[in-house]
Amino acid sequence: MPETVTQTWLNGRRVAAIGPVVLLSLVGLLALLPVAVILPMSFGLVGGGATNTLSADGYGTVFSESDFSRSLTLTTALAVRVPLGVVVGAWIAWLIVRVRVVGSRIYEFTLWFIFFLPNAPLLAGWILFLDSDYGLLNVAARGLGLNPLTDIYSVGGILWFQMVTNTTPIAALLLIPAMRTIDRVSDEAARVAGASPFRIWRSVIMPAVAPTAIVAGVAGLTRAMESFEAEQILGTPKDLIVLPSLIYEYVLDETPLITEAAAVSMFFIALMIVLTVAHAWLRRGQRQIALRSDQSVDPTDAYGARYRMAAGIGLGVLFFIGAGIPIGMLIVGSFMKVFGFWFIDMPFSTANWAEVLTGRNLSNALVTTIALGLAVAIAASLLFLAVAVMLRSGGPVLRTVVSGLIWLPWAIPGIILGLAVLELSLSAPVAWLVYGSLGPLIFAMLVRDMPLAVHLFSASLGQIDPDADAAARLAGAGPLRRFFRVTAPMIAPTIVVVFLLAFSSATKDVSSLILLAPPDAMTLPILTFQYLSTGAFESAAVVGVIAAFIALVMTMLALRVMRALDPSA
Amino acid sequence: MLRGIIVCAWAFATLASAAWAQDWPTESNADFDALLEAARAEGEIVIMGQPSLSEKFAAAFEADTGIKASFIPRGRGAERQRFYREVEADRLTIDVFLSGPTPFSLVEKDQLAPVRDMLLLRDLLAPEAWRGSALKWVDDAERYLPMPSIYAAGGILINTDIIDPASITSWDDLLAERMLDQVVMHNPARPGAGETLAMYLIDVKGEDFVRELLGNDRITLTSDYRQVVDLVARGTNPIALGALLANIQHYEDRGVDNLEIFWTNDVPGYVLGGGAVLAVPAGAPHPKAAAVFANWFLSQNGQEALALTQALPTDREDVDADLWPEYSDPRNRPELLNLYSQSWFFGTRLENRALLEGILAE
Repeated sequence: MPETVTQTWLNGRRVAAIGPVVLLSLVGLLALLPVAVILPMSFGLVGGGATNTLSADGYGTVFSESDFSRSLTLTTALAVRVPLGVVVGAWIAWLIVRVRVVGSRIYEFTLWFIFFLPNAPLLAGWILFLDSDYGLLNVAARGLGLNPLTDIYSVGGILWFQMVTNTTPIAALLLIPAMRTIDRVSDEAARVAGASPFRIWRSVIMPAVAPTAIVAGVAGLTRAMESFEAEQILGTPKDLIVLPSLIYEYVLDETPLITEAAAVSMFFIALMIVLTVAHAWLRRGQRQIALRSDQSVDPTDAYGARYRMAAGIGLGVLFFIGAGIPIGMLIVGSFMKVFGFWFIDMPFSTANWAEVLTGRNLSNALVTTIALGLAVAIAASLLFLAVAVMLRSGGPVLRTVVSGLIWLPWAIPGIILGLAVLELSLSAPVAWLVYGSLGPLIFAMLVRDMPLAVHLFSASLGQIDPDADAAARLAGAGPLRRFFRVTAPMIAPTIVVVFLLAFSSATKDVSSLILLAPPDAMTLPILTFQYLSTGAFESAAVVGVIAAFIALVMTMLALRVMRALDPSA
Repeated sequence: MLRGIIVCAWAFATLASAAWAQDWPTESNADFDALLEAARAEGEIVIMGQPSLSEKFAAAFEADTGIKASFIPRGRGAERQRFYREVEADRLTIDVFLSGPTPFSLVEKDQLAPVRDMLLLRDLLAPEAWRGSALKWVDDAERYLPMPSIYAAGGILINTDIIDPASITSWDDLLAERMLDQVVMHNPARPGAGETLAMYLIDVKGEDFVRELLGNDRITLTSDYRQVVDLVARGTNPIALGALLANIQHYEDRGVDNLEIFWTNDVPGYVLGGGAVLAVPAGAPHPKAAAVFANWFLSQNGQEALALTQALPTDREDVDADLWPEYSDPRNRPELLNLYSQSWFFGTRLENRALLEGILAE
């Protein structure tokens, strides 16, 4: 095995002995603690209505119910968006990074903007456009004498929303850094050999980013399986229940079926273990290499100006549909007297804005959202960088165990993670001291963020040339100095990315946090979700526009910092 | 319109008050003064209730008492589980829970504090203060779960541009071929208004009627409350069953004027407490503040604040009836069945629920 940079700093005996223990404890705490609550919960030993008698009745009830098989089928069917999203995301990333189509900076900016936006506002925007009764598209269609063209409250509606809002943008964002590391002469060499742009994408670029695409696919699949918010809003009216919604229904029941909800969650976790093994198998034999790229070569030379222009216009249309329409509709919706009532007298009003802006919920939510986002982002950046560093210095067994554990949290549906953290906060020694503060929310978000953050840090550390650290060591630099003067500057863009991802996830999440928010401390997405779920779509649209503005500022900041750290980005 | 003007004026007055008003309680006593003093020393109360109460309603309480009201919203989702888990684990952050009758299950475990013992202001239990000469309670013992607000429900909502109310004289008319296709109902397979209505219909119209109404997949079912009213207002489905007062009010307040709700003689309807049943857990972290809240909530000021925020009719005689829509007012309608009563909620309802589950499974 080649020596890695982290191994060279962590070669002291003491660190070597303590490192694995610390690493396993940290990862184990975050990954296993929630499972340690959910497992006994599924056997009726913990949680509401617990009887202290071991029973598998929860599993029996769940697996014999038609609702379970129906929701499992639908959840699986909805997961088809993942491979499609990864392919489209890879295509978009290629156009932005390698082809550098006209407007590529704006498109990358838009991808980040969509990523930072919570789902709820975009949902409101899409509903106003695609609802079969009052969606603007269908109103226009009826005006032309046509039948309604779309119904957002359908399987197709959920698929569409998830594809354009989550699956594709996230896959593209994960693949963009990988695309940048491909040797810059590859495109030109393929072009000289007679390959068309599509052939270059398919035969040169895609194989080179395949490991990242697989990670994006696995990550996307697990997130798709546990996705909740859009399915709850768009699926509920037509009784389209996915597994996380089924769990929500169990918890919502008049006599909450916590045991059954936990049993479904354990099914998820088992599924996740299968996916993790599949992921490890797919990556077998792959070795991460330090990539060197000839900075003097411009890969865009391989593609003609006409192609770059045409592809740029095509991408522009796609981005207008994916982002422009829902944001535009959201802004319009926030000024409507009654959401979607286009033809009443004076359909527009500023009353919704006045009501939301003068209320105290908005200011509370703004403060909570920013405080939570910053706390989670700082903690995640420091903690998971440390985990990644220790992980790379560990032996193969430790790495295999920890790598598997790290992905486990994504198998836990948000609402169940919220219940598990609630249970921990209420019953674990000392933990209840922080109950009612932001502490449990920060813990829940760290659990959620661990898989992606550790993966990104590990990948980034793996791409550093070990010679750089070795040279600094020979020059007499100590471990800390080498880390801060050599390694940290090289992975600075990744630190920024993880910081932003963690900030964003804390400011987007609803399902994990809804049971944990302290009094008077809703986050903006929870406030939006509350408005949406109680039918106050107009107020939800107002909060959504404000959240969109925050996402816009976040995106500008993020890209400015990333470009300052890595001018090639 | 009048209600809109009153709401605006009240909201302005509430926002304008920087410090708590000195006009509540209008008639105090030494015991209550001592309680209020102790509650102010506690400094805060944490209320879990419907999200719409977190703004002006909470501000009105603060203005009247000088006690900070923090709020945890209880949507129609899983949030209420937090209250029950806190009670069970005896790690309470919530002082007051505004909900339906379900907290009654905590009475048997001694996990609820008796609200009656907290009521120190004289007029709160005075017969002349309440319609029917008494404050209503969920529990038969009349100690734990007061229910000051009730509204009439179980009617048929129609779009008057499309449906003539005279064309529906009984619920049997809804079973006609031309009618069934026009009906939207809140999904009775999910907990909520549609389920409640179906269980009530089993009582008054019988199982066969409910089977016929639901059994042929002709009516449109949705689990989205807003959509129930929305589809009627747009005329897509001009007849709705299981519509919520709050959603009807939302549309009417914004100028939609084609909605009408009415009852027929064969299904007179029922009353509900609108999620405004007051429960105080034993061991609340701010017990004095919770007691002050109980006194305020059942007073004219508290009920007025609730009516202004949610358009909920109150049983208090001294609150202006213009604050809620006439159709929701249960006064002079003794035939309405109280579905928040202990006997219905924990007796008949459960039997009918089993029957409904059987019908839906067919």
